[in-house]
Formats: sequence, structure tokens, C-alpha cells
Amino acid sequence: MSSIKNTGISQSEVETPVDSYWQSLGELENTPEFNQMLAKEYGARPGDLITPFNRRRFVQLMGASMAFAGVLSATGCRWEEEKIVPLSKRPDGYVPGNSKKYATAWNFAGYSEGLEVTAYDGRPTKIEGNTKHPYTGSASTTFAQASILELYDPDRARKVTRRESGKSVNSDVVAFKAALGAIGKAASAKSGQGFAVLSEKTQSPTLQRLKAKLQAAMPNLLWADYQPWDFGNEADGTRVVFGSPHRAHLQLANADLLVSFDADLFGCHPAALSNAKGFGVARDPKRANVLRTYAIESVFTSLGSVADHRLPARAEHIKVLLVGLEALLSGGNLNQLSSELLTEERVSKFLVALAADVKRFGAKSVVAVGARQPADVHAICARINSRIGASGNTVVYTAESSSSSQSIGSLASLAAKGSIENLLILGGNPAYDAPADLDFKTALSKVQNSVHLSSYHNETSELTGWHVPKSHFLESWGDGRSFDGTLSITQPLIKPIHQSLSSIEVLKELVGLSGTSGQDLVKETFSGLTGQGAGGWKNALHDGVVLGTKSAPLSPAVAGFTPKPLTPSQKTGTLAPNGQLELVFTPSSQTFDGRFSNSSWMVEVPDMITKLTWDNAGMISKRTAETLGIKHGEMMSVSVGDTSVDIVACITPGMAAFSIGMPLGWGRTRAGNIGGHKERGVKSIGFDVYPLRKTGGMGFVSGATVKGKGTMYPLAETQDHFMMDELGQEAIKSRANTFIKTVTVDEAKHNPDFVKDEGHIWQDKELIPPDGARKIKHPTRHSLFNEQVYTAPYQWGMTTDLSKCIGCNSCVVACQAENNIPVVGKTQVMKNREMHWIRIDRYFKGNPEHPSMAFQPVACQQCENAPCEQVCPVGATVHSVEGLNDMAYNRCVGTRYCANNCPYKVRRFNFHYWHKELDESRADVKKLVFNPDVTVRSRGVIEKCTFCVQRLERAKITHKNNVRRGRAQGLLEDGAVKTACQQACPTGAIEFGNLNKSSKDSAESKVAQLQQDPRAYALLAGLNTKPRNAYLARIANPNEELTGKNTKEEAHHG
Amino acid sequence: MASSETQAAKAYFNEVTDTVCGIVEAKRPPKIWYVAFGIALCLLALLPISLYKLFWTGVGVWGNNNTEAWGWPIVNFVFWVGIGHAGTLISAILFLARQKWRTSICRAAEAMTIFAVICALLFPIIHTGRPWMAAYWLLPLPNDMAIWPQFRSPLAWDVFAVSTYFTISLLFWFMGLVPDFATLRDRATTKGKQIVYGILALGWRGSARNWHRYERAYLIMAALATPLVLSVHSVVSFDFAVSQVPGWHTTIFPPYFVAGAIFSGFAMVLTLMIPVRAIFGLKKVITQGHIEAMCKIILATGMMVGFAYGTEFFIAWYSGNAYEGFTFVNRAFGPFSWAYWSMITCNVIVPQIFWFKKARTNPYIIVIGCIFVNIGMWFERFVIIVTSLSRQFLPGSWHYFTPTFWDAATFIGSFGLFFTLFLLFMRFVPSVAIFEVKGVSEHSHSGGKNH
Repeated sequence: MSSIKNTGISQSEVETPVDSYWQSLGELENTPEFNQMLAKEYGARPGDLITPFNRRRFVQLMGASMAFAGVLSATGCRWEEEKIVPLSKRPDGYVPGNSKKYATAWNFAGYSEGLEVTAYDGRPTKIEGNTKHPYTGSASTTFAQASILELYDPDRARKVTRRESGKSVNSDVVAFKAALGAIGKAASAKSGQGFAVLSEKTQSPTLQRLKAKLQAAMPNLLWADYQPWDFGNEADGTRVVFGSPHRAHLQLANADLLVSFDADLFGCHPAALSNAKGFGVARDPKRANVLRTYAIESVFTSLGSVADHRLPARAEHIKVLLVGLEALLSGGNLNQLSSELLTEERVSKFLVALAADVKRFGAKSVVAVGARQPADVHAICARINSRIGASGNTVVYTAESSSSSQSIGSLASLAAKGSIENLLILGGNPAYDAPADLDFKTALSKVQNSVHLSSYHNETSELTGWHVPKSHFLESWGDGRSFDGTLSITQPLIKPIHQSLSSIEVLKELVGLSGTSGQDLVKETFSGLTGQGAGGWKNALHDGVVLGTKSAPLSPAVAGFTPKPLTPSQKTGTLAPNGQLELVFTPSSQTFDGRFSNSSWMVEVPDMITKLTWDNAGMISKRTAETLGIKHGEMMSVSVGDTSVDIVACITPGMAAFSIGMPLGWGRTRAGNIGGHKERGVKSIGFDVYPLRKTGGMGFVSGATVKGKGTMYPLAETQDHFMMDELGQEAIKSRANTFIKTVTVDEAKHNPDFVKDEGHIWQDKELIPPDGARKIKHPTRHSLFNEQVYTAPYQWGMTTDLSKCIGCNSCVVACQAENNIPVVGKTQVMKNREMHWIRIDRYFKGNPEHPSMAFQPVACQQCENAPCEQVCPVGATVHSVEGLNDMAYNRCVGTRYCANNCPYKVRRFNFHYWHKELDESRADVKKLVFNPDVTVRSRGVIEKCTFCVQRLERAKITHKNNVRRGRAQGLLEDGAVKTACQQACPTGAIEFGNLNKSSKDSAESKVAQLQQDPRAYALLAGLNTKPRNAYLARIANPNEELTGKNTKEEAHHG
Repeated sequence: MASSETQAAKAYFNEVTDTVCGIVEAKRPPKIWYVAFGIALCLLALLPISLYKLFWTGVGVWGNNNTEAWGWPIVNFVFWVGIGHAGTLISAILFLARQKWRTSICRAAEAMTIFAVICALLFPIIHTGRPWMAAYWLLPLPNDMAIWPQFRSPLAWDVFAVSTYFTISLLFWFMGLVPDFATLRDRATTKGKQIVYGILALGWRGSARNWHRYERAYLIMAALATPLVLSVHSVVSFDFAVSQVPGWHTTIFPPYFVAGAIFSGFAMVLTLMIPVRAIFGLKKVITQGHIEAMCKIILATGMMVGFAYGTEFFIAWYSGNAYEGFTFVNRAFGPFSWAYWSMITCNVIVPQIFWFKKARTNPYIIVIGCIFVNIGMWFERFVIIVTSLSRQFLPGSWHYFTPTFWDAATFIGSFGLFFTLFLLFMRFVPSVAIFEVKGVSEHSHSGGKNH
């Protein structure tokens, strides 16, 4: 691109990756045809046109020709045969500017998630869940949503590079393939001796097939798998108890009682979406038994936030508590275990009540243990599930394939000895995230030839001989299996934007399949697995999933085993001295294990618990912090043994006492312009805690010492902290219950109209009177204005079920992707200028040491009496006939009066030109991520949630056309159009549709029914804003034996 | 006797004319004028710099954010509009009320009004996200899209209220100047001055017909301007009262704002006039009695404002509205309590010194007291705007406001503009209404008819 603008460009500049955009343009390549055409056009050679020939012109011409030569040499390896040919006929079904959806799947942390990707004119822009996929449905994780940004990340590696005398030099795919071939040849001659492959964990059948082939060809090959956050402990635990490794699938939709021991079932779990979906179903108040949830955990998880009872406990104590539960279930008592913790009143009361409940619900209950816990805790859990009859009922076991891979530990120790000559690293970033005790960097430096395939030139690529950019899943063929074993196909939507290869494309070179394309390999695997031919393949591609490939359920028998005895530190009580503190490692809800640390969307989405953006922090309970003399936002030095790490302290209510939550995946030194890049002088964001994480202590580690450093560190929190002045806290206490109405299952049955008691804000304090029976009569509220009468056939409305919201942020990121919402950066977040159209307010309730939590997603409420509209002096925000509060960006002058008058504070102002980075040429590729249906807002205008009006309009137009062609009738079907947030929500908390009941053509929509639900209420109804969004009161299903304490506790804030 | 009286009167009239015109006609103003003008220019320099920064980078240069969408710029706007109240009040209302003492200060007060309103007008325009659009879309200009301002919005009312007030104040001020411009023209010693003042004097001849028409017109203008004094700040207060932000949504705002405006306006007049009177030797014209009268008005309006603070608090509690109640308790005891108590100290406690004649007659005490009042009135607007916005209904979006350097620079720059304009006025325009002072002096026989 730059070579066109400025022909005097130097050779080195031409070599910058940006130029690869232009490689397919014939004229830039200076082809003979082009020259001929020029000759014809001008009747002379181009050089002849230049008169007079002076020095300046000579230099210009030389520059230009060198630039052209540079373009040629930089691009010669790929696509050179391509020409841009205008279509003389429009391909069938292709309408320029119309979106198309393709089913595909991506592998995340080893497991596949079914996706549906929207593309405009061959450019993917939005990722959604694949509705045809039985495991995911239309929901998607934040990570899947954000992966589209990675595709267009300007920091992605764009060229194959080779290390030459310590310096990284550009190379190309051809050279790499030749080098890889030579390595392969040499390795097979020694039957793989000295050759190692380090791969991310994967369930991809094609990769596994290639791996088997490679292992067959090179019997001495060392193949290791590594993933910083994996679920191997469960396989190990079930191996102990069942004799072979198993995988546990929770069937929450069938369960009446869920007991979670440190299990982050809705967050970083391979079955997160399916668990959340099951939870949404089981939490429906219309169900005979509403699911009751207990959570015993160290760090607040989204499950803990929706649990009816939560017991904060150190991660090392989980085992004691589980053993205690097992003892109670088998008729024993807590005293027999001689554990100080179990004799504490709070704990024993909780466990006794829990055990009674488990007995009561029997086979309808299920116990889950988190990935962080060691194998024997998983074994005890499996044993309990078998004992109570949950196995085969609320939890289904399937076989876990025995891994034929070595651990990264054995690879590192061999490498350190110098016995590995050639190392191929497929994905991942072990130099950054491998267990600290392995000293992977040193081990890697002893390997003669190393190759790293990864999307970014990261901390590991810096140390390897070759770096090959890894194709994004939207650029390459692949396959995978979801947690339940369902096979899905990954199909590319776009040709690789940069020079890149997929894992399959690299591995095939080593097994003599270099002539076969990735697509053919995946196809072969598919027909091998399913026995289907071309027709089946076409279907699989269309659906993105092969149904009926689920793993078969097993009913494993429990073998006798004795868990390891409790350690002395496990037997202690809640109190622990400094030096005996516990560090709990947890994948970050934003960057996961670090792979999203260069994703601006992910680092700016607030962590669901701390509401912290652009940083991770050591989460520490208030009491612990007070004991250690540490303040919120103070830097602390955390050390285990002789390793220490500096991290900022974030006082987090609900953290287990004397336990510190340490989110992984931050403090990268070579992530990119967002996540930090030492060489480019970009500061790291957050703090790297991997140095404290060692083999044997990957989940948590005890014996930590913490020292406050006295220096304060600025934290960008989107919500004010718990440490608010007392006056504010008191106000929140009295208000929160009116915003987030909670009702127990019993109360709801006793008084179905409980929510209607809400009336005038004056009486807010007296909402839900204690006796539950008193009704307050309120006058009908009248508006000062003539209220609009809504007669249009579509009247859009929404409901948000607070019972189902798990605070996972999927809606926030989905909205960001759909609506081109900018990212503002840390300093601007600190100034309270974040742009998310949905924010998730979170409130704590009760004692700050063991609080409960509630989430409330707040987007524009689309008020019928919108306060914002009345105060806009230029009429830039007006009401549509369909009840939407519309924004006319072009008309907005930015007085921000609307933002002041909005009681929900959902209006966002463009204080600066937030898209400034796009002006840089390196960010050209990033522009491709935008949704062309949504205006990119400029500086000085207000924006806010539109109910995805672009989707509504598109759906209406399509429907209208269908009606005209006789393909449809009446109005849009209910569910035919979904907002981005609704679509992404894994629990189905958000419903959206037409509220109009008068329409004869359509049945009453789901959202219309829900708005009539007794639980439905409007936020701040007393202001008479008449919002089109209704909240459904939060259902609580507490155990009466424990409620005596809980319901009397008042709301606190965080 | 009569002739000696006439002699004395003539001498007095001459003295007034000489004193006032002398300031304008002097070859060089006093040194202190240069010092003051230099300082004012330095402050003024901040304005273009901050505006450049603002237009180049956006409203984000200030502390405003999504919770506190309005911040210092609107605080400054209300502050300046408030100051801009005294002039017209002195000229129009006191004129109609036949308060003779007004004559000595009305000219300067009017000028101050106009300059304050210029400063005020600056802020709502620059505080918008797209001022280049706001500057004309807020006006009801016919266009082929048939799009008009949204007349339900108090901001649209503001445009009319403030621009009308500015226009009337400017005309009123200029009208009052015409006879004095004629005096200057007649005394002019150079051709240039003759031409300039001649144009400004609009052909004034001082004939009886001239005076007759003039008096009638002045009376009508005064009658027209009077309701505007009350309306402009009432309308400004509607920006808040009409919204539903707790702490803004109160019916007391119009009278409360007007009282506050007069309070701050008079304080500003005194802050300026006391030094001016000393520097330019106007002590005979602007007498001790005039100053005392103004101090009394400050005392009275200060107590009105104090009463409003109390009423607001009482009503917030009495209404039973939990949000309103919290807003007020939060003002006094929340994170912004420092601002609230600064406001109470400056606006309610400090003016109490004017119960004492000693304080009313000591220029130093008066100036210091008045500066405090102006600080307090700025804080009043800050308390109303920022603390109310910082903690509204949903605690999830509560936020503490932190201003930036550019907030301060823009505000100081507006002071620079104000002082620069005022000092230029002092130098080139008769700063006291010569004919009016003469008319109400004890030497005048017929109370203003015999010039």
C-alpha cells in the first residue's frame, strides 16, 4: 500500500508486512502483461515518457523499481497465480453487501466449540454459537466472541522468520518447508531420536491421526502436550476410582441440587456453555424443584455468585471439606476427622445442612470438583457421586482417551540435558507459561533446531530458530471434538491474510503428505470416522457439526481406594499466619492463560468479580488484607520459597481468608501493542504470576509470604470499590434490594404478586414487606406529556432474568463485536469513560468475608417515556414507532444532557476519537473487523444500546421480501431476530421479541409472556420511564436450615 | 446665593466630567492599569491554548465522564451567567425602583454583565462534543430538512434566554453610553477620536427632544430588561430543575438561582469597583454610601441563598424521596463534603460580616469578603452539578469527579477574557454614567432633567 503512495520508499520499508495486501494486483507485480498494456496505451516504453531525465527523476524511478522488486520478492511464495477478476455474472445467491453465515468450530483449550460466523463479501465479522451444535447452541463464550479480533490483530505475525546469528530475519514458507523436510528426514533416519514435538492439547481427529502417523514413522519421537490450564486431574482421579480415566458430564438440567467444590463450571471449563445452559433450565422457577446450588470455593466464580449458599474456603481445604461431606453422607460425623476447620461452627453448620440436603435430593443431586484440585479430590468426588446415585443420572461419565503424550516436564529435562536436537512447538507459549521449575527457556536454548508455530511472535518465538505464523481458525481447515465428543469441522471463511500455516499443514510435511491439502486431510479423517462420502461431508460443512458422534455414556464401577491422608496444613482452621498463606491460581476471565492478552476487547471487559480492567490483581479478602496491613491498590510482594512476584492487591469480598487469588495470563513481555512488548517499548499490562507456579502446585500453592510494598498502583475498576465511604454503603444497602429483587421459591409461591408491591420510589424502602402480605396501593402515575400511542405491528421488548445471569460477560463482548464499540484504554477507564453498551452491575450482600453476590446487566432500557429524549436540544435522540429509543448520530452535537438525565446511566459519550489507532497504516487490517451495518461513531457524539436495530431492520426487510414472494406470511416469527446479547447468553437470561399482542397474525411471543410474569418488574419504575426492558426477579432457593442467617443480612456493596 | 450654588454645581459637574473623561482622555493610563492588563493578557493567553487543545483532542481533555457528563464547563457557565446579573439588575430594576445610588456603578456593572455573559456564552458552546454543529443547530434556523431545535429541551430555552439577555443588556448599555460618547466626542482633541466617538454617539446633540426621547426609550428598555433579569437565571435553573436527577429536580431552583445570581453579581461588582475607584480616583463619584448599599444587598441575598440551602435540605427529607434525601446527605457528608462546606462557609457565613458597619466601610474587608462570596458561588454550582451527578440512582455507575489541568486552564482563561475586556472598557469608555451621576447629585435641581 505504501509503495503506491510513495514511490521513493526504501527497500527495507517495502519489506514491512503491510505490503502483502497488494500482492495480487497485477500492476504492482510489474507483470509482462502490464508492461505490454502500457506499451500499447502509450505507444512507447514507460521509460521513454520521462523527459527530461534528471537526477531527481532518476532517483524516483530507482526507488519505484526497487519498491516493485521488493513487492515481488516479498510475495513470490504465495498466491502469485491469483488475479483480481471482476465477476461478469453474479454467483447464485450472492448479493454484495449482504451477510452470509457459515458454520464452523474452533478449538479452545483443547475442546471444540461450535460456531456460526457472519461474513460480509468474504470478510468474517462476527462470531456466534452454532445453533445446530447440540453442545453450544446459539451461545458463545467471551473468548470465542473475541477471537474475531485476533484474526485482524495488526500484531499477529505476518511472515515466516528465521533466526540468524541471534537476529530474526524474514524468510518464507518455501524455505521453511525445505528446512522442516530436512529436519524430518534426519529425524526419521534416527527413527525420531532427538526429535520432539510440543503441542497444545487438542481433540482434533486429524491432528491425532497425523500424530499417530508420525509416531509410527518415528518410534523414538518425543511428543509432549502442554496447556497451562488443563483438566487432567479429573482423568487421573477417575483412573484411581474407576480403573480407567473418565470424563464427567454434568447434567444440570436434570439436577435439583448442585454442590460445587472449587469448580468454575460456567467460567473456564470445557463444558462451560453446556453447564450454563443446564443451569438456566434448572433454575426456571416454573420447574417443580428449582435447582439449589452450594458453592465451596476460594475465589469467587460465576457459579459462586449465583449459588444459594457459598462457603469461602481455601483451596487446600477443599479436600477436608469433601472428606467431611463424605463422612456425613456415610453416617459419620465431622469430629472423627480431627480437623480444626471442620469444628468451626460456620463450617460444620454448612456441611451438616449440605449433607442433609444431599441425602434429601439423593440421585437428583450432583457434586462437582474443580480442575484446580488434585486427583484424589476428584476421586472422592466420583465416589460420592456414585454413592448418592448421581452417576448416570445427574452426571454422566464417558471414557477419556488415554494420552499417548509425555509431559512438558520430561521434554524440558531431556532438552536441558541436550538430548533434543530438533523441537517443533505447535502453538502455545511455553517460554511464558510453562511451570517455572522447568526453566523452559534455558532448556529451549539447548535445542539446536527449534520451530515455533504460533499466531504471534511471542516470548517463545523469540527463542526458537524458526517462527511460522499460525493460521487463525477462520483461515484454515481443521476439526475437533467438543467436551461431549461431538465432532465438528472447522472450515475457513477467508484465505490466510498473512503468510501462515495451520498445525495440520505443518505436521503433514513430516509424514510425507506435503502434496495433500489441509482440506483433503480433514475430509479423509471425516470419512474415516463416519464412513460418509461427499454428501455427508457437504452436510457436515453446512451444519458445522456431525451429529451422533457423542461419546457413549459408561457406568463405571467404583473401586476401593484410600485418598492420601490430610496434611497438617489441611487440618488447620481458617486462620493462617503470613508465610502460610495460600496462592490460588486461576485462569483470567479476560486473558485466559495469556493468549488473549493482546486482545483489547478482552482486557477491557471488566472482570466479573473485581470489575477490574487492563490489569490482574492479587485478590485478597478484607480481613486478610487488614491482618497483613495491606491496602486496596497497594503493591505487594508475594513469595513462595525464594521466588517472588510483585502484584497489586485488590480487596475482593468473598475471597477465602488467608488465600490470595492469582489470575494467570498477564504481564506479557512480547504480546503486542496492547498486551506489552519489551522491544517496542510497550509496557506490559498486569502482572505475570507464572514464576510462582511450579509442577505439583499448578492449581494452588501453600506457604506463601506477602509483604506490602507501600506503593500504590492505579487500578482501572469500572465500578466503585467495596471500600466506599459508609454513607454510600448504607445507601446501597437500602437500594440494592429494590434494583435486584430477590424472592425465595417459597415466598414466590406464597405471594405471587410480590414484585407488584414495588410502586412509587418513595416507598422503595418498604419493598417486599417482611410479612410478605401487605400490599401498598399507589396512584397510577401520569406523564406530563401526551404519551405516545404505539400502533406499529412490531413493538420491541426485552426481559432479563436475574435468576439466570451468571455475570459471564458474553453479552458485553458480543455487543462490542456487533456494534463496533471502541476500546478506550486504561487511563480512560479510570476516568469512567468505558464505552460498553451493556455493563454488568454487581452487588455484594452480607458480611464482606462471606457475601453473596448478584449481577444486573444494564443496557439502554428503551423507555417509552424516555427522559433522554425530552432534554436533547436538537432532537438527536427520538422515539421510533416500534418503541425504540433511537440515536441519530449525525444530528447529535454532544451536549450530553441526555446522559445526565438517564437514570440508568447507559449513555456513552465519545470523549475522544476512540478509533485513532486506525489512522495508522499498520492497523489497516483491523478495520476489517467492523460490522458494516453499524455506523462507526466519531468524536463528540453520544451512543448507546439500540436493541441491535440493524438486525431488526434487516430481518424485517428479508421478511417483507419473503412475504412478497409468497414464502412467508404475517409478521416475523418469534425468535427470528435476536439481539447480539441475547444470542450470546449461555443461560438464556435475555429474551427479546415483539411485545405486540394485538397482532392477529402471530402468537404471543415469549418475551410478551415473560413481561406478564409475576417476577417481571421495571428498574426504577417510580420514575415512570416505562422501560421496554423488564427484569425478572432473582429466584433464591435457600436451605431453610441455613437461611436463619442469610436472609437477615442486608445488602452491602462492592 | 443662587449664583454661588450654580457655581458650585457647575464646578461639581465639571469635576465629574473631567474625572470620568480624564480616564479615557489621559495619554497614558496609570501604571497599575498596565500591570493589571499584562496579568489579564497572560490569563487570556490560556484560553486559546486550552481551546486549541480542546478542539484538537475532544471534550475528553476535561474531567467529564459518562457519569458526570457535565463538569466544570457548565459550572463555569452558570457561574458567569450569575455574575452577569448584577449589571442589568442595577440598571433596570434599581432604575425603576428610583434607587439613585445606582448611577455611579451602573455603567461599570453593565459592562461587567456583558463581559460575564460573553464568558458564559463561551462555555455551553465549547462544552458540546461538536461545537461546530451546536453553534447553529441550536438556533431555530429554517432549513430544507425542516428540522428545528427540540423545544421541550431546557437547553433550547437557554439559547433563547441567554441570547435575549445578552442582546438587551448590550443595547441597554450602549444606549446609556450615547450621551457620554457625545461628551467625549465634543471634548476630543484628535480627528481620530472625533470620528470614532462621533460614530458611537449616533449624532447626539443633547437637545431637549433628544433627551425627551432618550428618557422614554430608556424607561421602556428598563421595563423590558427587568423581567429578563429574573427570567434568564430561572431558565438556566430549568436546565437542572426540569431534569430528573436527584438534587436537580426541585421547584425551588428559579428563585434560588436568581437570588444566587444577584448575590454573586454584586460581589463581583464590588470586587472590581473598589480597586477601580481607588486607582482612577472615582471616590467622589462612587461614594461610601453606594458601597454600603451594595454590601447590604449582598447580605440580604446571601441570607436568601442560605435559606434556600436549608429549604432544599428540608424538602429533600420532608418529601420522603429516598434518592433526593440521599443526594443532600451525600452533599454534606459524602466524598464531596469539602465542596459543600466551602460553599456554606463562603456564601452563608462570610457575608454575615456585613451586619457590621465597620466591615461595610473597610474596602479591604469588602473585597476579601466579596472574593469569598464569588468562590462560594462557584462552589455552589459545583456542588449542584457535580455532586448530584456523581451519585445518582444506580450505585453501579457512581463515580468520583477529578478535574484536569485543562478544566482549570479554560476557567482561568475565561477570567483572562473577562478582565481584559473590563480593563479595555475602563480605558476607552466612560466607566461612570456622567450624565446620570450629575442628574442625581445634590447639585441637580430637578432630579435628572436639568443637564
